[in-house]
Amino acid sequence: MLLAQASTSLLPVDLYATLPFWPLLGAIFTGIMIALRLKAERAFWPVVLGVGVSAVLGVILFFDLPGMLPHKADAGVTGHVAEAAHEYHDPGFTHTIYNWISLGDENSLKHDQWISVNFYFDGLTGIMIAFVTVVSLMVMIYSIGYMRDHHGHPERGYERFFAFMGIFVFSMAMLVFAGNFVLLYLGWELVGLCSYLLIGFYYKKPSAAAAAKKAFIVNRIGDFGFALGIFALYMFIRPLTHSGENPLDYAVVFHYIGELSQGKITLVALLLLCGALGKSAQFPLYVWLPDAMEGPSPVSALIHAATMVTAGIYMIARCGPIFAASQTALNVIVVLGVIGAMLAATMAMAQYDMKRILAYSTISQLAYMFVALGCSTPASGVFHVFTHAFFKALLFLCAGSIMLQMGHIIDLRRFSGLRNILPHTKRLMLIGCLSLAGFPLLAGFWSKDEIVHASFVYHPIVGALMLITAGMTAYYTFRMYFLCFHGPLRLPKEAGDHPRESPPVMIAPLYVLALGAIVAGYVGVTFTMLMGDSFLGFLKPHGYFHHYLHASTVVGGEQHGGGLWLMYVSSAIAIAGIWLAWVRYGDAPVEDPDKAALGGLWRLWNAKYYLDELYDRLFVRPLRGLGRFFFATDNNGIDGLIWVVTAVPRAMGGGLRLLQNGALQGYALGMVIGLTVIVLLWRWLEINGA
Amino acid sequence: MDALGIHLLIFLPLVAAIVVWTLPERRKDLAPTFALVVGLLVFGIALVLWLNVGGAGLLGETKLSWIAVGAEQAEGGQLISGLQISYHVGLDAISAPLVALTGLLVPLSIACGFASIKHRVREYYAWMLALTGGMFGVFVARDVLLFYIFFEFTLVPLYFLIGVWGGPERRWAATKFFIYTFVGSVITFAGIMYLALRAAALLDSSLITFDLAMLSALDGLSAAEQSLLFVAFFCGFAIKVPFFPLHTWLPLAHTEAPTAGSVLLAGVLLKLGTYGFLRFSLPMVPDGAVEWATAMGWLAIAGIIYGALCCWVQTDIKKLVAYSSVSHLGFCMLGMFSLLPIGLSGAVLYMVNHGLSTGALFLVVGMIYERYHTRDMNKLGGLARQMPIMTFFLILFVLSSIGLPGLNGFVSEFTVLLAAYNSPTLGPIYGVFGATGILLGAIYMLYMAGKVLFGPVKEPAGTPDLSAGLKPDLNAREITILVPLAVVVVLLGVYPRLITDTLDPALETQVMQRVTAAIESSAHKTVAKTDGDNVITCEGDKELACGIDVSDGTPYHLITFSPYHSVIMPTPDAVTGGP
Repeated sequence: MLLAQASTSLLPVDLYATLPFWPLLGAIFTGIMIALRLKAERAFWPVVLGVGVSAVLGVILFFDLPGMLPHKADAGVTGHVAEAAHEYHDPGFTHTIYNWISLGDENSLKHDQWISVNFYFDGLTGIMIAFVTVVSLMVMIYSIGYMRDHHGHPERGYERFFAFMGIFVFSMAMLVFAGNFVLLYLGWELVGLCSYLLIGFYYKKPSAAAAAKKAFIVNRIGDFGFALGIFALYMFIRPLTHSGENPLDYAVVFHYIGELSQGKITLVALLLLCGALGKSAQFPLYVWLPDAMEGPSPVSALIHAATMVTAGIYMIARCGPIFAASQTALNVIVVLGVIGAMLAATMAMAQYDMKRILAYSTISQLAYMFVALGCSTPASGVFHVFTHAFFKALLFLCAGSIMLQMGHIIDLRRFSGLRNILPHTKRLMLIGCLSLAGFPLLAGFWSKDEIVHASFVYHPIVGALMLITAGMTAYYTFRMYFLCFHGPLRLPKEAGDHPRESPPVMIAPLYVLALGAIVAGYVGVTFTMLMGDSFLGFLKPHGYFHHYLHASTVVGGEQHGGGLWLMYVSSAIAIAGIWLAWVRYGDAPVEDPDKAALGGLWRLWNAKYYLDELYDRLFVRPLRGLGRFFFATDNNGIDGLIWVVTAVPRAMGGGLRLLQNGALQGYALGMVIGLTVIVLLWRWLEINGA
Repeated sequence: MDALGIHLLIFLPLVAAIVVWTLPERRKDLAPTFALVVGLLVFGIALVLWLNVGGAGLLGETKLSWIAVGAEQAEGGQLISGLQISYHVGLDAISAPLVALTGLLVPLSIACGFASIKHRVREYYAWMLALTGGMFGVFVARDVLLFYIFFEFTLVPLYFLIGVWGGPERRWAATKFFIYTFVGSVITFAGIMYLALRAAALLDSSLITFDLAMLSALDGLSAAEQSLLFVAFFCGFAIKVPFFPLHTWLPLAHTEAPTAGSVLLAGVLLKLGTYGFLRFSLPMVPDGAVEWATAMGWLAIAGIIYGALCCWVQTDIKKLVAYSSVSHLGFCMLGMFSLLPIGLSGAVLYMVNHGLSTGALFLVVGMIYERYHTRDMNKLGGLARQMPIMTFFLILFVLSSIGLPGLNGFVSEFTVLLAAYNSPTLGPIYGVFGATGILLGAIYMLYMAGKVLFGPVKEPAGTPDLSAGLKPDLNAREITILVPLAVVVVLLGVYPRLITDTLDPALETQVMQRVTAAIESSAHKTVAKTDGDNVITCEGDKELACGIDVSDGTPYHLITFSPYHSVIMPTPDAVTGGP
């Protein structure tokens, strides 16, 4: 079977396995350039080239992968005995690079078990790596132009920015390629580190430094649960494994997971879910993502919208065999997803910072993906990850383009009517907004519709809430769009006298992403000529994308097709939301009509439901208080206690006074006592022996 | 050759210490260079020895009779009764990583004092070298009393290093450090004496010796004796670790010590305590260790959380790093008392990794202090702008310290927690509490990094003080000190098998076998047995499962005592085969 894989792959697997390391190599080169104090002007080259190589490899791998995977049918042809129905078939294959951490022997019977550095290839790997590397490359190219001041000179820290971005792409690729849970955790933590370093890129700003710290720590809260999940998996799976089977490899875990009791599976699933809640910024751990917008816009686009934050969805989809076996865990995911989607959408309606609106919409869209996962249709969730990456990266980069030309002002109250100044940005932003709003026939429409459909099958109330959220999405997206580009021209004074369109190096990659935002959805759509059974007469959901994902660990219930009435309803809701935004914000009013109309509710949304303040009162302050108490105990209590204990010998013989007068005398005393004891013992022994 | 190398590790620094001390006044400028050369030499020797060490056996074993009391000589000059302390040294794979760590840290800590040590220079380097000899002696000693002598000897140089070249409260800090550690080790000494006497009685020998291998293979101590002996060892070693709640000497000693003192204290001397537990408590009194394991586990967890929360409210950077040691060594002890192979190997890795990352953090903090003459985080800020190179290193070592995967700290932290979770003596709940340390660690370390490095620039008036020939950012000497640590931090994160490949077999033969036997005997020895009809019966409500290992066809059976404790044993031949 292994031979068959090798013969059908275009490039050797070893070459594909180098994919994550090219950006790292680029980052190291850039690091050397920093160390040698070379000119910053060209610092982007090594990283952009490294990511470029990765993107090429990623796209080739995407097309090459289906032929490399073991197919069930092939297994039959090559003479494998048909296995029982409940038996787990590994849909992919594991490629080991080296053994990393030894797990020790257990009475010499379970030897050769390791935590390895190994990569896992299946359909999910192919999809994730393709869009991650391509979107990364586009964002990198954009950054070449973006990370400059208005004279076109590189900003302070230009080289550092590219080095960190290179490390990010490496880490994200490791996360996607990882073939076991520990390596997944490695990628997971490393992307978190890059996020920390890049949110704090403008470290002189206290708000940026605080946001970076908050992001890392909130993520670590999730990772705490994630790590416990991995420990639990090890504890449950290891007793079932044999020598040579690494107990934390995906292939091994998924093979044996069915033998665990329902309670154990649910426990593992819920613990792993904690990690996803942190990384994918879901309720109740979403508080870090809006603050993360302190980072440069390309970082927001790549890390905090398109790739890193989808890692949680990726992980749950990857662990399909675990989650599919626990309906309790799936129900929890749906509930959290619905709460997250609704909360985030309401908060997005009451913000003025463009990037924060987009951040809340990211939370909301990620929550959609969660709902898809919970409704046993993980393929639809992954599909939304895929389309979302294009249009959300596009939106953030457009916001960055506006921000750059407005002198780093992003507050919608400070400017309006930019349609003539930034014509390209306006056009691109419109595509992004329509796609996010779920306007028919654009990328976001197809994937979102699948999720709404699945949620209706799961429970009508969930479906209704998803539809309402879709309407809110359309509304706040276009509220932002109209406030920015419509109405009379107003400019902040920071923008200077002649703001102009961004340079081609920034605009060109945006067109690539915009193309994705339009057509990416058709990867998951089948063209058909059956009039009655299709949308607008020739389009039918569930296409190549779902077929591709079939050979992966993404397992769920039946995929729900058809149900055309829902597509028309959701189209109508999207258009209605846009229309409502046009009515209320079409001429970019200076006074916010919603603020006046909604009053207290609006303020609650604007203040993000006071969750930050709540956490501060509930956790941060008590813990710090405890720390102060402990420190005081240390200084007074424990020392005092020991002083009291030593008071007995002090009172008795004053022996310790010698130590206080001069430790050396005390030491000498100790040695004398010790020697005396030795001699006495010897005497005792001699007497007894004799 | 290997034996010569081990002797050199101990005596070269000691002789060099005397040479430095007695350098004539006009040659006193040579002292730092001379000390550094000696430091590099011992590093070279330590490195070669570490590379030579294998999974089994003792490298360069030498045994010479040193102190012999009760001269009843028989033919051949052998002592047959009385008391014998020998100079017995050798290196195995358990000590070797720690010897290599010491070898690495010694030249770096010598070099870090070049700019800041201005008075009594010769004496300073003499004490540094004397400390070096003592530290190596502890790790290579194969005679328990020799170990104890070196263990105690390290107190003296450090006492003077803190007391003479330390900060404003140095005298009190040195005295407190001395009293604590000395009082504890006196009790340990009593324990060692008792153990040696009992060993002689049990082996029916009238010669009292302190041979490590002999004492580590001793059978026949009663459970009560083992329990008491464990407590006796605990007193000396736990204070050294420092184990909660006996840690209060540490923050003060660290804060007041000169940078080099802090580096060696955190990097090596604290490991004497954990090494003591591993080398003595576990193999010599395994039943005692098993009996006290849960208590040790809870104390370790208390230390992890207590230390971490104390870190979070510090304003002094050095004190913060000092408290982080309390938290980190709690992890180390948690792994050790999981009494699992991965736990022990994780604990040894933790010793090395903690030495590297905390040693490096103290070095960086020292470099900041030399420029700004303050360690108060409220008076510093935004140093990333002023000192980008320093920032790079500080962030790297902070990340290593909080266990970022890919760097060294992660491997040991992960294995230690995994072991606690799966341990026969501890259990998942210990793993859960221990894992809060990864969260709290990130909080206090990033709090520190954020305060010192980020935000608007804040510097005390009149600083940075560059009068000592420093640059605003790190100079070449300082970068040279930090680079080796940075390289090792990455290397051990990516490929920890550099240490574990030889360490694991050595731990298995020297510690684990004893401990496993004790665990099984504490679980009432025979749970499963075969009767005449080849049927396995199981006592009590233990679960029993049988199976065949597919890789080599060995049949085995699995006895489950509890959800997280099961033992796999080869099925006796009587069950599977036989005509």
